[in-house]
Amino acid sequence: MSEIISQSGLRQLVADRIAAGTIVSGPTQVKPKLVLYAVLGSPDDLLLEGFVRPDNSIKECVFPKQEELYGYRIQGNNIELTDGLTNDDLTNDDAPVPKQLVVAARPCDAAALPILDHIFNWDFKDEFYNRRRAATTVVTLACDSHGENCFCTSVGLHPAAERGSDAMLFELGDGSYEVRCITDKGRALFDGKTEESDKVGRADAGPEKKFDPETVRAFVDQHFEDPFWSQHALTCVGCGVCAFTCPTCHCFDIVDAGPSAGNARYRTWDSCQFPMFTAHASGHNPRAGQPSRQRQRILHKFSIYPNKFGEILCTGCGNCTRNCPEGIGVLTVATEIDHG
Amino acid sequence: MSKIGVFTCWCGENIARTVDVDEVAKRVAGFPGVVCSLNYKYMCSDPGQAMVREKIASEKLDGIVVASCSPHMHLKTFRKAAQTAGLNPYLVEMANIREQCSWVHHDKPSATAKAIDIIRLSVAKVRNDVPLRPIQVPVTRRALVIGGGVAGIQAALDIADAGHEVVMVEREPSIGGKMAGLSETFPTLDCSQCILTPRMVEVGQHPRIKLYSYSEVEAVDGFVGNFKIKIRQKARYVDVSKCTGCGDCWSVCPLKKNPSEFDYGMGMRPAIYIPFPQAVPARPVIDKKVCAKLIRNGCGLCEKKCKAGAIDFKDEDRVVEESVGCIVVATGYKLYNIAKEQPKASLAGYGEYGYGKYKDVIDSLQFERLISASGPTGGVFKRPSDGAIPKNVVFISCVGSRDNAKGMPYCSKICCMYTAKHTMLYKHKVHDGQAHVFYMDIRAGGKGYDEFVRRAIEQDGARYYRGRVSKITQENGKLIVRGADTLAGTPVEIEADLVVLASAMRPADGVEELAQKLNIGYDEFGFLMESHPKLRPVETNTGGVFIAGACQAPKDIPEAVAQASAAASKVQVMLAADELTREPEIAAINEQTCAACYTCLHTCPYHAIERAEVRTGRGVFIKNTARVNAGLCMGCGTCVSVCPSKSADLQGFSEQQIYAMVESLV
Amino acid sequence: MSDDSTRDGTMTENKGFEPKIVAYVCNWCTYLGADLAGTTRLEYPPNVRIIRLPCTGRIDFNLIVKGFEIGADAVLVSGCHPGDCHYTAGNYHARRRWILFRELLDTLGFDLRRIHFTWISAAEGKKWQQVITEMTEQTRQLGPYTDLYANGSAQDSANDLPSGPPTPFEFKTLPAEGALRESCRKLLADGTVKVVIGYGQRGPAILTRAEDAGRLVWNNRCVSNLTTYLKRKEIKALGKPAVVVKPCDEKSLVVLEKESQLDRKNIHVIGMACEGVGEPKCTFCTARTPRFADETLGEAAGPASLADPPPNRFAALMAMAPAERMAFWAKQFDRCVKCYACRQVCPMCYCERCIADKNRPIAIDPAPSAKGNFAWQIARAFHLAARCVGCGECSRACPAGIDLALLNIALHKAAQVNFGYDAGVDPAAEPVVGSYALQDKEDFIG
Repeated sequence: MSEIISQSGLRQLVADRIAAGTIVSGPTQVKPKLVLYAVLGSPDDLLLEGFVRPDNSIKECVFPKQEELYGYRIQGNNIELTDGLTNDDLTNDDAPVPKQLVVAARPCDAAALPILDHIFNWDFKDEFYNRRRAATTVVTLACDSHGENCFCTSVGLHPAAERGSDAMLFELGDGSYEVRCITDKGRALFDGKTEESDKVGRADAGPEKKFDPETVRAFVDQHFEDPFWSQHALTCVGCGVCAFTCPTCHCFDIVDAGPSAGNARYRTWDSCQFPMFTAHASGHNPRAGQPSRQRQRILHKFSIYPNKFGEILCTGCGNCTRNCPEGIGVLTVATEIDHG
Repeated sequence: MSKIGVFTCWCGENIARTVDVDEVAKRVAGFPGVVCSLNYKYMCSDPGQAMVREKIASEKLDGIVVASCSPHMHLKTFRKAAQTAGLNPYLVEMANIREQCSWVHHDKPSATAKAIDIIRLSVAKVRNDVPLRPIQVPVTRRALVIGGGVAGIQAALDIADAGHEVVMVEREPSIGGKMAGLSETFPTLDCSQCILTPRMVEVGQHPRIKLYSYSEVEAVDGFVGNFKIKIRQKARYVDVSKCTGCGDCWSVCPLKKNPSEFDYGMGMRPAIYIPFPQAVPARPVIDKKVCAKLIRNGCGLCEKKCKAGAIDFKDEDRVVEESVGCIVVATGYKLYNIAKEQPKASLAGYGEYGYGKYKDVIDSLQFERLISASGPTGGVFKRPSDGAIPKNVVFISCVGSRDNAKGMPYCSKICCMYTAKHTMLYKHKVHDGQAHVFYMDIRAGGKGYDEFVRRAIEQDGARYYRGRVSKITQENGKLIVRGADTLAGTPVEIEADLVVLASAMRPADGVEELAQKLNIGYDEFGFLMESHPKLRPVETNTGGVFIAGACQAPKDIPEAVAQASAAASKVQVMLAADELTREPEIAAINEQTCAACYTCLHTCPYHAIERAEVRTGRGVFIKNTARVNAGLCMGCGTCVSVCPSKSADLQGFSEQQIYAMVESLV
Repeated sequence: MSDDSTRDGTMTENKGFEPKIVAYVCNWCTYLGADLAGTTRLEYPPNVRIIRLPCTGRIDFNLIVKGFEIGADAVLVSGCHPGDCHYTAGNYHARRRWILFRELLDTLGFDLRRIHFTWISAAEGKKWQQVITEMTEQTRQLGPYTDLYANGSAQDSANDLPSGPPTPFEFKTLPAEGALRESCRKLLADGTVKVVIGYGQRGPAILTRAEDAGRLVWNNRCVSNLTTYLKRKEIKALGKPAVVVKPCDEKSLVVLEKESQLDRKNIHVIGMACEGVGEPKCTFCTARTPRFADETLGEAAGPASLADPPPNRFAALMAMAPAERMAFWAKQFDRCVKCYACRQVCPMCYCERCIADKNRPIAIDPAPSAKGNFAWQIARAFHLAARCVGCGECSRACPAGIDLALLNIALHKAAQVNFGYDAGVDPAAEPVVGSYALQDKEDFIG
């Protein structure tokens, strides 16, 4: 016995949630060849087919590209902290937190959230992250195909992996979806919205394994100084596309914004590939070239993070490689290490 | 943390009537960094300044804002006051709450609020002020004068008499310029050479003047106080140290019929020659274009004749280097060549006047030579074609000048006066001759000038026709001049024996190349650009380079001499000490972040930015960079705008300061 | 806020909206003109706040943008009349940049009535009074300014410009591939070059060994502009490079050499004749064969003409009303995450310390907010004015699909129309930035 929901039922659920004040996000067709997760203004904006996966990730829900930490006001020689001059009530202990819902996330996006939980609750419990995380429900749409840049199966996931999902949808081929509720949140969301059925959805088998993460880890640990890095990194231009479209990358910068919006301190996304990422105030930069920066990315994802938290900091979504202007990313590097 | 003092002035009633100065002082006290906020009736007065000084000392202020009048009034005053109290004078700002607030608004609340904002801006600025030190640039206490005409001579003598060495470079074989070739000068009718040659001799003999004659400036490097000049001494083929100027060589030279440059073609000179008897230096030069020995190894008579053994056919150009601190450019003028074909597309010729076609149509400098007592016709006024004495001479004014179609819309200033002079000189030589002058206006603005022109008309009988000449033709050996007399309303036709054209004054040949070497500007006619037409007529926009004489604009001898002395006085100011002090509000480039695109270098109006390299202490190359020459930068900040990485910044108006100011307005 | 006062000079008791005007003026002319207005007691409204600078040449666009960022409702920039600049040419340089900057603002849909340029001399106190009075009143009518920070969720604004039906595209390897591989193999083998920058299977390939030449490809999807690698330190350190360029990429070399970033003699340029690589820019291509390469491979007969050429997106953008345009850009920039891919792929963005990374002072708000994104995109586009060669890499690289190249196209057109300049075409042409002409237009200057 399975639970199913029609597409129109799903869109109605989305409409209800929007009307109730939940911030609902899902894949949207931004341009003819561009699908991105975005906040849905209407249920019709939700895209449910015709794409492998969006070019961004759902981490914006729990780790937005810009987040106000606090506001401040200077009076004479005194500084007064305010709750910020925006309506971001997440910083206010007593304010209710707006609920968030992601519909039709991919499993490789959902799986990133539990992986990120570690770093945001390690030596410091990040309230901003935790509040948003607690307020977010994730409904994934199991993949019915894969692209050439997908490699979830190489890092221990697959197109129907349940990690991080509160509920999962499977396409049934007739415009309806099987709904498998995984957590209480998921059950609460779909309560009364589904019908019983005997149809069972099936996900894509996924890409064949492209590399062995253990081989990659062993290489980065033992070949810190290796010409491989210089050769490989020459085509990297040093932008932040890989880090910013990656579901698991989480580095951030803290900046003080000028007085026009009121003075406030924000955190924003940062990328280890930026030339200034490790620049010191003295002018010295320990990672002064792209090779050391590329190496650090792989090291972090396949060695350092696993050492600390027991998990690879990668879900194999392939966004890095897919979006890179020059066609490199974790997939190309890891494959090169394992087979090159 | 800053410790800023704000001093709000009442300016008597001027500010206090419209701005609530008590409220201002109170509110300003709450600005970040302000530790002391006062107001007082007259900040610029002695007690006011004393108050400022006292507070600086007692509160240990590290920056002050004086909220009063315009910085153009009293910024210097308060900077001095601060300096006296031990505060760097560049940590002083003025908030203009008078000219730009209390005097232009009448509503007290809004004027007060605006005054507070104005002070807010200044406080933000001074918080980001950095102590600056005036820049000391070492000075080579010598001057270069380019051009040995009357302006150059005057400047050189003034500077040399003041005790500084002068290097003078003149491209002709002798100094004297155009004035040496004039017959008599207006309005005194002094013999030109008589008043000039004593000065020329003085220059030649002055212990502190080093004269490079028959030489040109080849290259100029460096900047104010520190110029390195390369001078090309052209080969004379005469060893001046041996030559005594006896004249045996030029008497024996068989090639006597070369048009004389000094006589503008009205006379001849030999291949080895001295331009005129009073030449300084009085040493000959060989014209290598015609000398038989130099061309085909013939002749050689002068060498044989010379008892001093001074002829040197093996002579070559020599390039020497001189170091100077300032430069005076006095390259003078030339007359516009009236021929039909012109070298520049912007100019047009007067084919209709027959200059170059008819031998007896000449220009004013040629006239001077013919009428001169020491001229090629020996003081007898003869016309070029057949040597006859002309009985009817037509003088045409404004040939080329004041004519947009010819490309010279300006007035050449001296022609009205010298034309009147010409009629008088002519009459003094040819008592039964008649002078006719075609003019547009009479411009005789100097001392005794108008009286002079009246004399020409009333005493020496010159006939003046107000009108232009349309055409000059030749019939039966006479020149037919067709013009108009617009006051009478009739056409005029005169049968002339000689026609003299008062052609326009233009800058000397090659002045544009020279200006580019010196990095000074010139206008579309080639006249050199002064820094400000009213208040800085002898300075250029390049530090250390001054201009004097007709190279700047058409002018007569008294003006050229005055300007030359003015330039000399500027030079003396500069050379008064071993070091030059310059305002430090100039640009600087962060060499670590500079991307060496050199957009700033191409943009800088003063060419004050140069290419440079950053090297380690051991000389290992690190990167290229742009670098500001503190001696040349005038602090406009245009480089800051065009710099993409904002590595260029302007001290006193830095990015940090301006941003802080704007952001304080929120 | 910098103290406890509200902006009480401007929001007086019940008078309604009082515009806030920031004026950047030059010290020698306009500031003295304003002083003269004071000494002659000419009255004008108290809404203007003057910032004195030595010369209009010092006033860069970022100061104008900053004025609006802090809440100005209008900005005035004023200086000496042409020919009178105390520093001889500062105002000429400023004028040229203003011409370009206005075009950029217009492309963004900015209300140009809020920014005024004037020449006011030290003798023109009356003109100062007039200008401020008129400007204050006009701005009062226009109302408060909020545009640059409008939230991008303008629902009724277009998300994209018309792009027409998808053009049919068939991937194919091109005949010159073999010759290219052989040429590069030889260049590396005999040491003529130490590194080859070319196209590989997935993207650019940078080779140092002759035996790797087989990794090079040449097909009709070789899209990257490889000249961007010539600026990278790691690659410079390897020695003399050979770089594979299409005719559009080649123009970058011309600009880079003009800006002293490379020495043409020290690069081996392999030019590839090209019939298009399936990018939007290809439909407007004007040069199929490289002009300055050391060797040219392949032949280009010209791309097949399209029965339905895609619509001109720039024309479609400029056909919108300004407010519509602003809403369009606000929505586009809402997606920007400040990944700086647009900057990193651009060959012309070679500054080691980009203005976006400068933090004393913060010239460009680094946050990916509306304000920060507008500030960055304005800076990027303007810094590329009359330098961008139209390789389109910025649009291609943007992971959020923002049509950045439209801004560059706007400035490219402005440079062509106003100065007859086409970046990267004529190596001898004088660059637009850093030069000026006495007859540069000034019909927009009061």
